[in-house]
Amino acid sequence: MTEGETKITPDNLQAWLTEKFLEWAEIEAEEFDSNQPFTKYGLDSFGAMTFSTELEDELGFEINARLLWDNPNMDTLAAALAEELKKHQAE
Amino acid sequence: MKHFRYIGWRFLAFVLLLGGLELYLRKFTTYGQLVVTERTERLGWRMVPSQSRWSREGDVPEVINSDGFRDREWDEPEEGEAVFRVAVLGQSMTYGTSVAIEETWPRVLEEKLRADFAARGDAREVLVMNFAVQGYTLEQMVRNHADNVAPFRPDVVIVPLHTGDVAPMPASADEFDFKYRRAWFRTATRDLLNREVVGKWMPRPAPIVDPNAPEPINYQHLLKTNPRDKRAQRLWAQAGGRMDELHRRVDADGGRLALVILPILADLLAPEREDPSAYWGPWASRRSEPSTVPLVKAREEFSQGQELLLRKLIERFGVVERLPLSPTGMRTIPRDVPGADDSLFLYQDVGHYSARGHRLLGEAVFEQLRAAGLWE
Amino acid sequence: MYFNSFEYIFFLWAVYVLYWTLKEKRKLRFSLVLVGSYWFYAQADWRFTFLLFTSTVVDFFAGREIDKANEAGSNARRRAFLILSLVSNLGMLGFFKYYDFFVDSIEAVFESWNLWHLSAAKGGPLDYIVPAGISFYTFQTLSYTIDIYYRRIKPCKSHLEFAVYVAFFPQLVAGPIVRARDFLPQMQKTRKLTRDRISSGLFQILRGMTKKLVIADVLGAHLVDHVYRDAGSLEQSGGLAVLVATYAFTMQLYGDFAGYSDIAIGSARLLGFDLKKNFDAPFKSRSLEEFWTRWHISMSFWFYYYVFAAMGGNKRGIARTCFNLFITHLLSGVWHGAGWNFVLWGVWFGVWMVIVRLVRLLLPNGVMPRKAVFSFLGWLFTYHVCVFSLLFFRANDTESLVAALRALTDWSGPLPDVITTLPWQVWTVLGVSYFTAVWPESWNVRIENGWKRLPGLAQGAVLAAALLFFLGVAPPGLAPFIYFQF
Repeated sequence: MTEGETKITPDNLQAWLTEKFLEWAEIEAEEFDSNQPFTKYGLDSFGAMTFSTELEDELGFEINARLLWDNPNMDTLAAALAEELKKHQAE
Repeated sequence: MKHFRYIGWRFLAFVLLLGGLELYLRKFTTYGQLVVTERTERLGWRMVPSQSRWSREGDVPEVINSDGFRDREWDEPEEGEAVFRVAVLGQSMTYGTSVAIEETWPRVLEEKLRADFAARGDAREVLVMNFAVQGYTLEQMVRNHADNVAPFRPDVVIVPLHTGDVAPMPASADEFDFKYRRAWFRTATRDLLNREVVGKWMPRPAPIVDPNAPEPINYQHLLKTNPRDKRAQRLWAQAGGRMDELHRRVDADGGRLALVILPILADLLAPEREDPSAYWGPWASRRSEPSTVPLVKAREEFSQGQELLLRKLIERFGVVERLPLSPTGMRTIPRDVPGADDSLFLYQDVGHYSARGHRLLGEAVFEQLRAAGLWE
Repeated sequence: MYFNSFEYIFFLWAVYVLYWTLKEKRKLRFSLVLVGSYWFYAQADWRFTFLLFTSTVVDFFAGREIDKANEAGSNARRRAFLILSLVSNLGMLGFFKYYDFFVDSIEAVFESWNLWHLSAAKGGPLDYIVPAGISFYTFQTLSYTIDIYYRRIKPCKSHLEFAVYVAFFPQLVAGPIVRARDFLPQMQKTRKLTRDRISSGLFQILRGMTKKLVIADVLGAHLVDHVYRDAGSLEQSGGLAVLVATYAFTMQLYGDFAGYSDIAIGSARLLGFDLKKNFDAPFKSRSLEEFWTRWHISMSFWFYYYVFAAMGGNKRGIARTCFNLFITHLLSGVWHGAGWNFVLWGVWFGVWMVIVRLVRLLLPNGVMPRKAVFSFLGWLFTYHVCVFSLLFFRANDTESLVAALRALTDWSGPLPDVITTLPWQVWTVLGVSYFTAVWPESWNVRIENGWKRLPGLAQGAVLAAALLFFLGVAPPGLAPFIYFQF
């Protein structure tokens, strides 16, 4: 993880994730609706691959790009990732 | 040493099981006991020297001497020695596939020669050396002579011939270079897999035929059925050239060359068919310089030696191509055919002689070459 | 040295034992892996090791310099060293792999115009074999320098560790293409050797060998190689046979390549390294984009991350997106090999990807409605785009390709011998392999867990039985991995 950033916990995960996504998709916060599918904001399957890789680098565990497929909007993805994070932090 | 513990049990089980299987097969079966060959540049392949193995049926020993041939150990020739050496080239029909070495026709010849020399009061020791290697064509036999036979300076060199001998030398595609892979090839496990699984449970893939290569002529078939074909003619011409060379070399070494036309069942079942004597007869009769080359033909003897059997086979099957095939693809003689007991060929493989056949041939060779004055 | 050989098993075993014995001595154990890797590579041809070494040295140096320039904020220097890395890697790749292809192609053009021949210019020394794995390790080192350039990672401080990263024998010759940031940190953290790791590593290797020896080699030797032998055999085979052979080739390529990747990943795991999956049930893909997240994942990731995204990805409007897609796929085709058939393969995918992207414009939110029928159609379509792309891969030359295409339109003739006499064992392999390729992932997990629960002795017994099975079933002779030529 990059120095100086706060530790990512399942609670602040969605906020962090949203920030990352906004940065990746190059859109403003106002344009973004966490309920809408990512594809609306230009995240296609390859984007999913590269985005999930970036998330991996930050979170420190392997994320299957399919996680983004199966959870096509921010709300569901954040929930799923939070689960994963809990699992990995327990180890 | 955790890593030993982790890999240890697995490794142990792995090695024990495979090793156990191998030991069991070696002790209780005859798998993995076939004679092993290796690739050589000039000859294509040769038998690995000094091995003690078994025939493919597992009932006849095949011992290869330190020179790489199926015979006793041979001494180096000495100046002025009192040994009459006869070198016999050839392929599996002379090698004695599935037949004990003592019963092969070169040994029969030796036996008869010894008796003859003793009767004549010739004090020289007689040694008939078997230089036959399974699968060799004439080309390989001639090279074999140059490399391995000539150093022994034999008094007589006999070249047994059959139809396929003039075919081009086959590529030694199945021989491997890697030493350790040969070790694997010698294991009983591999032999077991090769005989029982590959080809049976799991068929072998058909070979890919390279379309750019000229259509491979089945020379064996061509030579048998259409010896006057132009391509066959070319092969005959080549073969004649090789034999000329061999004749010159043998003569330069102070020996004599003799040819033997091997009788084969296909010819015996089709008496009107030409055999190699149609070519080699004229070739031999044209030789007078540097010495004559006697030609031994045993077709008559072989016809008479199993007359009933041949008649019945012709009645029942007609031609050799209709004889039943064994699972390994060899033509067989059913045991229930009348006269089968007299067979001069192996039941399980009519391409090779039985002990009776070897004996008959050995006697024929002895008689005819004596008449030609070769045993002086 | 091929993975599917006794030599490799001995080699891996030796490296494994020595590696874990040298647990405390990091430098020594990495040196062992390095020497082992170079020796492994030298088995193909010892001269190739010079190229590997050059790539290592150049990119280690370039990476360090780019980072220094990053710190200093000197854009010109950063770019200069990145270009150095790009030019040397791509130059080496281009020269050794594509020179003959370019000359031949240009020559063909000149010949058709009846102009002078370049054959004199070609000369002898360029008649060589392409160094094995060059496409893989050059891309690997490029990922390192490019990531440093974009400030995503810091350069590796240790020559030894970097050299091991580049030459690591499990993935050296045919991937997966491993990113520095996935591998280098693993060299810092000493992995613990656990029973789970051994079991899992052995399982991967076993699975990879099965895919290669039982599926790929059998389908290739019995069916595909016969039908695809040359233009003549393709023409004679007729539509149905060519179709069946192409389905079989699809599975053969998968078995071959995924098998290799499995063995690579398993071998790496035995040495304490975790490489990412390179294949993930690709025949389950319900869309073309999904396919590329399941097939040759490390390569498609490389192209998407370093080429597609660098060209702007899908963020510059639809026209640019389509262009980027097309170019990315074209390049990935070129990467595979120096031949027009590979270029066409890339173009085929490029065109279909663009079409699919354009179709998405018409759909609400860009996705297909989540109904079973659409999933099925999407799957059918994707599978066949993949299958037909492999016509380009497998056809030996343009003549064959044309013959194959023509044969596919002609279903009138009788079935060729190779199909009518195909042994039931081969049909079984084809059927079972497809079945296992699309069955639920949970079944795979269950099998692996079942294996892991077996005690060591039992695992050893299974491995022994597997070896005998492979020796009985696989066609005789050592068949090289298809991707070795890349």
